[in-house]
Amino acid sequence: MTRLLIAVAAVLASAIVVAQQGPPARDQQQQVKGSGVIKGQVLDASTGGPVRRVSVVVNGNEPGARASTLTDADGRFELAQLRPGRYTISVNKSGYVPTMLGQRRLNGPGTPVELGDGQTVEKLIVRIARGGIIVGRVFDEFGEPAAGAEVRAHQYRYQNGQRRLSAAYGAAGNVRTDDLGAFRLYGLQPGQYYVSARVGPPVRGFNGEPPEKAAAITTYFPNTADSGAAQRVTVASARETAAVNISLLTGALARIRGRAVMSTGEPFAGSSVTFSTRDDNSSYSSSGGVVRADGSFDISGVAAGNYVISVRPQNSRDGDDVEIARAPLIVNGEDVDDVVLVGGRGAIVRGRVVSDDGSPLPMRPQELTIQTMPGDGEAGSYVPPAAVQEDYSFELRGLFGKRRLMANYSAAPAGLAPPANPAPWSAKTVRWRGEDLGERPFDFSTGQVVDGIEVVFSKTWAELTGTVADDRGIVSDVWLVLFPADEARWTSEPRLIRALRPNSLGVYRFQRLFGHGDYLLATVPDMEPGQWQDPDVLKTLVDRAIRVSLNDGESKVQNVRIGSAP
Amino acid sequence: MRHSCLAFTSVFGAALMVVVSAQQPLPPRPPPPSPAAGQPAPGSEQRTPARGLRPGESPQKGTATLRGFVVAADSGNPLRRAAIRASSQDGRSNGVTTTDAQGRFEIKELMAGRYTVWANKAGYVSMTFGQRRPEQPGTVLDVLEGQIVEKITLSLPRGGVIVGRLSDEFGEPIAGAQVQAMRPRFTNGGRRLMPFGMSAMTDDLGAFRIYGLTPADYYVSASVRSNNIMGGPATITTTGMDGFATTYYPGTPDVNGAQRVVVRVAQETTGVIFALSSARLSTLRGRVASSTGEPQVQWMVQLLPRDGVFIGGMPGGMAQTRGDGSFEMTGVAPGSYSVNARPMRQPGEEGEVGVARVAVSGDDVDHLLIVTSRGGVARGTIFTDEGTPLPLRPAEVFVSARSVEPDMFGFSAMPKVHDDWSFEMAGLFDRRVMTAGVTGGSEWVMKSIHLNGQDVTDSPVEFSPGSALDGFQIVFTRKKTTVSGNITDDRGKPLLDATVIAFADDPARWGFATRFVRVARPDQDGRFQLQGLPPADYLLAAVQEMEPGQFQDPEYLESLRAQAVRVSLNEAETKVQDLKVAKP
Repeated sequence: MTRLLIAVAAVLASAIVVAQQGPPARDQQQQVKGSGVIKGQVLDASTGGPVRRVSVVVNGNEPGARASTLTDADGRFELAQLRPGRYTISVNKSGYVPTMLGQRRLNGPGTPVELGDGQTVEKLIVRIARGGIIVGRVFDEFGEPAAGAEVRAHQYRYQNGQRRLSAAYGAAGNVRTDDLGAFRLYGLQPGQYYVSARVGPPVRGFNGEPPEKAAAITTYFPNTADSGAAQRVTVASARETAAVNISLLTGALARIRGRAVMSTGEPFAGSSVTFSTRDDNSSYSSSGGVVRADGSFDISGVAAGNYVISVRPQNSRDGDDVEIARAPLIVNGEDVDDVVLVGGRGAIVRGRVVSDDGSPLPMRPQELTIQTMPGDGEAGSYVPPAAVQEDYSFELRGLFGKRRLMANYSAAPAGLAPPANPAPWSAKTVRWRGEDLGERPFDFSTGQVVDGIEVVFSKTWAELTGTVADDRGIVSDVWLVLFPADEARWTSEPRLIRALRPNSLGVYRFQRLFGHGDYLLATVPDMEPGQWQDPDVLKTLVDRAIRVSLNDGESKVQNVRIGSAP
Repeated sequence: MRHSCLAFTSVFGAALMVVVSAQQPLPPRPPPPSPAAGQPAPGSEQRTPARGLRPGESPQKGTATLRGFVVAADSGNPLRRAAIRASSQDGRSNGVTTTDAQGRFEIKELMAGRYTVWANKAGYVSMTFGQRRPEQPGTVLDVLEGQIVEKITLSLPRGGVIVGRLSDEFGEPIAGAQVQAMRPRFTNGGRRLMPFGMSAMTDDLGAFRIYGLTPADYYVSASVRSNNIMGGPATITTTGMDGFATTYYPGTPDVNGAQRVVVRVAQETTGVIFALSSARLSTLRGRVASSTGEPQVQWMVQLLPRDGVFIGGMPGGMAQTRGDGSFEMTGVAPGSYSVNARPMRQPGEEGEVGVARVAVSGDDVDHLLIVTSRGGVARGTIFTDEGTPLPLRPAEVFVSARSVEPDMFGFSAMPKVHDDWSFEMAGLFDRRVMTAGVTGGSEWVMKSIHLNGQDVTDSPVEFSPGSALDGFQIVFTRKKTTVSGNITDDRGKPLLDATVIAFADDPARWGFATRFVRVARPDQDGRFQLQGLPPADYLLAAVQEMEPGQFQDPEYLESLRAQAVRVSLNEAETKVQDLKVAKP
């Protein structure tokens, strides 16, 4: 039983991790049913035939307006009880490229549907294309098939203004090799990919004497550990790109020795030493080994990488107010002998949720949670969200490293009447000592107490609407990019940068804009997701952009005319 | 989880082909070790768990060394980068390594002890040293301090492979389905299909390849995870969708209609082609409330299948509760489920959790109410039958409470055994059989457990939410029974790869978590020993092949009656009974 319990606990724990990576709680909004209906059909882009059992998800512009279903045998779908609003329609089926209604080109923007009160929008047709396929084999350093290797497809994407190699979207970008070393990555969006393979975790975590001094490391096609030197793989729709064979490289595994003690000098006896690292934009944590009774630890089998190494008391749980010892650690294959980890309590943050205009908040405290996320690409631990008290105060404990504060307005209780008009209310910023922190993370130091944080909600936002047209009439197949005129803010405040495409009538609407003064508005025929956050891309737009000044509470109309050479 | 399944199947036997090097003066051979008794029998791992290292404890270092090599059984060629693990039966010492380019391995700094050596490589069948066939007994290595044991050869057969294809009812390939090879196992007193080996995912052609399988008869199941367009964010969902039920080859949702697939060593079993069975998917809506009626906000709600297949706790779906404690899960395939609710954080001892059971048959389920509660608490005292306290450290004694419900998840906190030999265990739900023992084995064994005068040693105790059951009295004794003997074949030759089953004559004693059915392996001389069986009339049988957990099957035990030998055991009695292996 003991063993079963442990195994079960592990499953539960991993399940929770998955849940945390899921959509943020802010998506969970009140369940208020409307009477709108969206109907349509999903067809195969190449055969024109209906596609069964496609997942169809509609997302409204109101928070939480979201519904899903599966297509029937004729590829038809129907979503009822929808509230009025503007909906995007996404379809997805294993083996196909996830697609949005109105996407004319892959990677292109989708067309939202305007749904009036009680309206039925029907005869929508979404064409879905079979994804591209990468076929190959993975071999170990002896040239033998590597079974069970994890193979991933990566693409360059823009994140916070930087072009980074990131894991391809969706489950399609991640498979394991079979006993012949063979893999088949499918359902890929046509484009350029880089493929990596790895066997085993980066931290093998052996106590003491290393059982192996080297091991296969993450290797990019065809045979390099450097993602920058990886060979590009071009993928076309429904086509196989074959012979993407990877020969795994081996790298030295380091042995990490040190001591972990609390601030009192008492050893962290029995605690696990956790290695956290980030790659592919995902966080990876692994227990390396255990601190001995005298506070020393000795862990071998650590692959090269950028880690945060941490120790916390045995049996303590996420968010407990206990001493934690942590330090960054760069491992390059060489043994490290003198890591000293000294415990300390995480920072405490106290504050209140306030409105920007001093008016009482319509949200009830129990609908709000305050949460922190690791900032600036740091590998951080999970800190449970804090509840907001009756007086709208909150307290978070056990914070370490760089973290951003976020407020969730979540889960208005179903079955209860929703607040009168909650829609415009949204978290606008975090203020501390009169300073607007925007998106900047705090860098928490041990034992720090940060008092007087204000999480500011506002119902006063700027709005910009208009139509897009060219010589021939309305244009809907285009991107509109709205970004601050002040170049310095492009990287410091990416939340000010917005991109969308107009609806089928050529009408666009930017809502809940930060009234920060001068913005630039430009049109782009096509963009990769997130590309608008790339400063180099924005620079090319400056000259032909329209300048618009937007302040909170303002609603402006700006029609856009696309010239012959936009 | 799967690994531990494999580990259960690797069992121990006697020394076969070891060469002890003479680098050190050889100490005289130790007297025949007593230990068959302390060995965990396959599947009955709870009895004397070879205790793992406690947190904070380092593996102790010794001076013994194991060396050897791993080869492929078919070609005899060395296997590189195979994982090797040696662990002592008392759990105090272990070592891991991988083979080098020549297939060699070396594990140093081991303490003296009885070691099981185990090798594994993806695509091959894991083997224990000395095993002649997978899942049959291996050999325990007796290792002395300073000894260098060399030429430990492990020969791994290439695993069998199941190759097939999955389609929908119209013959279109299904991509991204999970396909799992399963075998019937006797567990928690029932015969269930349990996953064996790794699962596979179908590719865009619907093709799958499950490899590294131990040769045996399998059943193949397939399910689609994307059925579960699970709860949480989706607020409105159209109901009455057609999805897929978990389907068994050759295409039935009914586990009883599943067909066997024979897998042989190093062979591909092809043509496992079947269609997933379509099923009406339901939506499950409910609410999680605390024992005082407060909504449990942002709790995790997990759906676990109960019937047919119980895939090691793989959640069938998950949702998070909203501000009023309500939750919704869509895309639920027909079946019988446990719905577990727990906070996002690990519940502490004081924390509440909740469970409900629900049968889904294509209609939506509304208003499922899960009332959470603190689990029950068990408190009691540990004694000996000699009137003296146990001459052990309280930390060495374990108390556990096994749930009679196979799907009941243990939320129970680790029991605390205090210095005054009182103990407390919280977070208990449902009916549980209490048990106690000494980690790592001892001359002291559990004799009985009473609750307020009633003997509950072998019967489940019902824990109701939030209540405390005080007054458990756990008695340890060293007046334990011993039955030992030699196992031979027809010609009187010692048999090293047999298994001894001792089971009470009275079938009423064969129930869940019984102490009256035990399994033992012979040592390197073909000698077995069973210690600590509760006094009763027993039947003893020796068999050469037994499926893991099969000794829990009453029908199997009945079938052994004819060939079994009767032995009566009274308190503290020692008996010798030689056994001949029964023909299968």
